Amino acid sequence: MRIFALLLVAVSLLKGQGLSLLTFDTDFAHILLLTHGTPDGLAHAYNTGVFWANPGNVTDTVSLVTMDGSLRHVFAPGTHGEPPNITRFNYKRTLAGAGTGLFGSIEAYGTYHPPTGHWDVFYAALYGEVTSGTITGFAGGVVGVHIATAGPLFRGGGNRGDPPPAGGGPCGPPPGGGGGFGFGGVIFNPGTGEAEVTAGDCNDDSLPITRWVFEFAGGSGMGGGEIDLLPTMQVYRALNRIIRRARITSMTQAAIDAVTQGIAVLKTTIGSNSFITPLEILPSAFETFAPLTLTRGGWRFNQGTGTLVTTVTLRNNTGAAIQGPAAFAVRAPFPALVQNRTGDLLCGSAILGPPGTAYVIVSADFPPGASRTVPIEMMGLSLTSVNQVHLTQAVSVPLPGISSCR
Amino acid sequence: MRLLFTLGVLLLAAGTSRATIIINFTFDTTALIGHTAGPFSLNFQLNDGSGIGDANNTATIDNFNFGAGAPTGLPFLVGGAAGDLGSTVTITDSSFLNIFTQGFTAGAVLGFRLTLTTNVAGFVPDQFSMAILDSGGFEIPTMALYSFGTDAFIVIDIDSATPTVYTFASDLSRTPNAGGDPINIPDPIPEPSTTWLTMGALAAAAVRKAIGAFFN
Repeated sequence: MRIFALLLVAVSLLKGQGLSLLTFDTDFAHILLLTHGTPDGLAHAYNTGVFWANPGNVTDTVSLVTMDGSLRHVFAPGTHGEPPNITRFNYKRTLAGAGTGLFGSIEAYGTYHPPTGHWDVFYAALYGEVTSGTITGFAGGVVGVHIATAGPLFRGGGNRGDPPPAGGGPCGPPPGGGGGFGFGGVIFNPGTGEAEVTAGDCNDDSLPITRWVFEFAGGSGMGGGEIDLLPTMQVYRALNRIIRRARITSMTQAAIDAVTQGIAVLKTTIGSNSFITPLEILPSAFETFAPLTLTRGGWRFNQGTGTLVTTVTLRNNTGAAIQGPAAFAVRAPFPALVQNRTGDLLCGSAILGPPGTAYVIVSADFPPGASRTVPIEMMGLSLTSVNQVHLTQAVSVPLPGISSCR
Repeated sequence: MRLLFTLGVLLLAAGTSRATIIINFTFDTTALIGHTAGPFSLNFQLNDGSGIGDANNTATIDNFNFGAGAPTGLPFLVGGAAGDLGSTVTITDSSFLNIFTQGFTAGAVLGFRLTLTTNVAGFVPDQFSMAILDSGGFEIPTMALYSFGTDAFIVIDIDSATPTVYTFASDLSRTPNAGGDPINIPDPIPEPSTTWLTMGALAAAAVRKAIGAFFN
């Protein structure tokens, strides 16, 4: 029998016991919302982890977005501050480089704790892709994630060329030193399928990259300094290759709060496969077009392939026949995670999702009462959240952007 | 594919509202004996639909019958899984993924009893499933692939107190990932637990008797 390598890292959540610190033998928590941008180079938008930045247009604008997706505050470049009326936020800082077709974003999620004045940041992620040409020069501070461990939130960030902290870890000033937290090294090398971010790679920006995602979690702003509880950042593979991961073995009260408030999610790791599971399904997570109804099936983990499998059932509950094909969209952090998708939307819509959203076409007609069940197979790793997999459907299918994108 | 509608085996535990189904499964595993894709493992999963590990359902698998075979090795446990094929396996959906895997040497039959609570919560149902893994950890191909996208022999989406039990035969059009010829395992035979049916029949008889006494 195959030996399943590495460890199962089981999450044991002790709810409601008032503990100030829990030890999690696992990676930790994510927040549900991702945001999505428009290709104007500014830091606003909603609902996905992709943000376009015009080539050469390096911005440093921060948007705070409430969990319902409304934009609440935009910080001008170089400023910071925390509106007290926002208790959950989505922080986005755009980055851009000198490449063609580059996009990237940084997101952070957390909550505001009025009694302490702390913004507790739980999760940050950088997504990016080069759609044409070759991009290099992404080491260090270019992709530095700015979560301060002391002083104002969102300040700092490791800079390219900064030495790694003593004892290893990401590039940039050491945690707790007031400077923040940065990354170094190449994230993903399509030539080899993987590349590591290591402490010694702070200046290594020589390898071309095409797509990447990396994430880390933990930390607290405004005097928190809890990020030093994290042994190192966690970095996830892009596409199918694991790059490097670290485990967070401690979880702060802030993280516990996030979990109990239903805005954080937990991660389970089995071997080289990781799954982040949610604590809630957003009300907006499930949208349907009448008259077909869509129901979800449960999840099964395929240990051999490392995929998660679920099902979607489309049913005609009306008394009239519905002519196919039907389709539904699967919103995932990366559409490529949906292994059996028909394609990706070229144009987004409020219902189906943003451009790039995976969709599945069901080539069938639906007589009254008829149903069709479709398996959905997703790659496990870098699955940012199982329940970020939002399933939507449309009966008529203007799907892959055949009309003009607005 | 065989569907077992579990209304007939629905039990309500005394004093609670927790519904439970109890089913005996019997597989003809003759084709596994000496197959090159072995050694094989039994894989049970009870994954939480809500994702939080709400621990609202439990699967208990016992009364294992391996025929001339036997369990081997130690179980590989994920989440809320515990136990051993040599005795009883329990899986609670206390994590998102809750998985029990343990090797076994195949005999001519494989049987076990499943006791599954069927508490429904949330939009995405909890799911119980069972598969047989080859020596590489891959599922033996089954016909479930074409409806559930997975090579399980048993799939139960707990979407009601009396969920449909789906069982599948192996898929003779595909070879195991670990090699060898396609494996022929017929659709397993799910049967309501006779113990509980007997108890149910006795309970029904008692009710009828009480009603009769009341009206007489």
